[in-house]
Amino acid sequence: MSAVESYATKLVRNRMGLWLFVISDAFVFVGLFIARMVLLGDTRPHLDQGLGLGVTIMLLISSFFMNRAEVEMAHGNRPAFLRNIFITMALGVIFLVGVVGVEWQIAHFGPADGQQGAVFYAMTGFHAFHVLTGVIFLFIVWNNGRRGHYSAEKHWAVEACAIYWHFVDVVWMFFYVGLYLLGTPIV
Amino acid sequence: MADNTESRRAALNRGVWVALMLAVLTFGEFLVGVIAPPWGTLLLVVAAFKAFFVITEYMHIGRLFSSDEEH
Repeated sequence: MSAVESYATKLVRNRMGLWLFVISDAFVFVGLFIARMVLLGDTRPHLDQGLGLGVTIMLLISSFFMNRAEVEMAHGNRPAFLRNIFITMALGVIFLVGVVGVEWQIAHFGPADGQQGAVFYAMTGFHAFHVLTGVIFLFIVWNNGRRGHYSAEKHWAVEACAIYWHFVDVVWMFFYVGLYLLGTPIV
Repeated sequence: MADNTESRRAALNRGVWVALMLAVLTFGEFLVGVIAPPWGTLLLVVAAFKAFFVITEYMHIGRLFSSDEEH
């Protein structure tokens, strides 16, 4: 066996490691979703539906641009990669502002106001923390890309960033349904 | 070079179709959630369907099981 692992061998190991992390992290979100189902049942927090749909669309569009960024890097198109990853980052920030900066402020209840407050702020807070982490991750990859890192052949960091970002999007697909759409609003 | 351009275009187009499908399903979820709240199970099924497409098409979970070590 070679003393220095080939890039391809490391890549296989890195992918496995990242997916194991994603799956273990997903269990925490599943736990939060189960808590929502047990505590709120057929009711849901009274929230702004337009804002909920808006931030959800922002996150979906960000995933689209993240995918484009990864495809462009895989084909050696650095300017397009940088442009797309920057748009992804900007949309992530807009999502954060929408949830933490607006929804948290206009909600008719606080974190200590019963079960709906506990469920809503725990779910959105934990998810927002992941979005913030993702935005930082995106910024690091964008900055490295700007300085000439990565190539069509070697861009594991871009792929890892994309997997993490899409994971955050997948989590929100369920949280959006659980918080904004399932059941009848608590008046 | 032509192959590279072709595969890039195909990958980008695939991304567009997935995004369009996700947008339509999300809008459908919104309508069901607002108009018919009791249809909760349907909403969760649609969310799972959307997640499946993101995991397979955007997160490329298939690469985890492929023998070719691309990228």
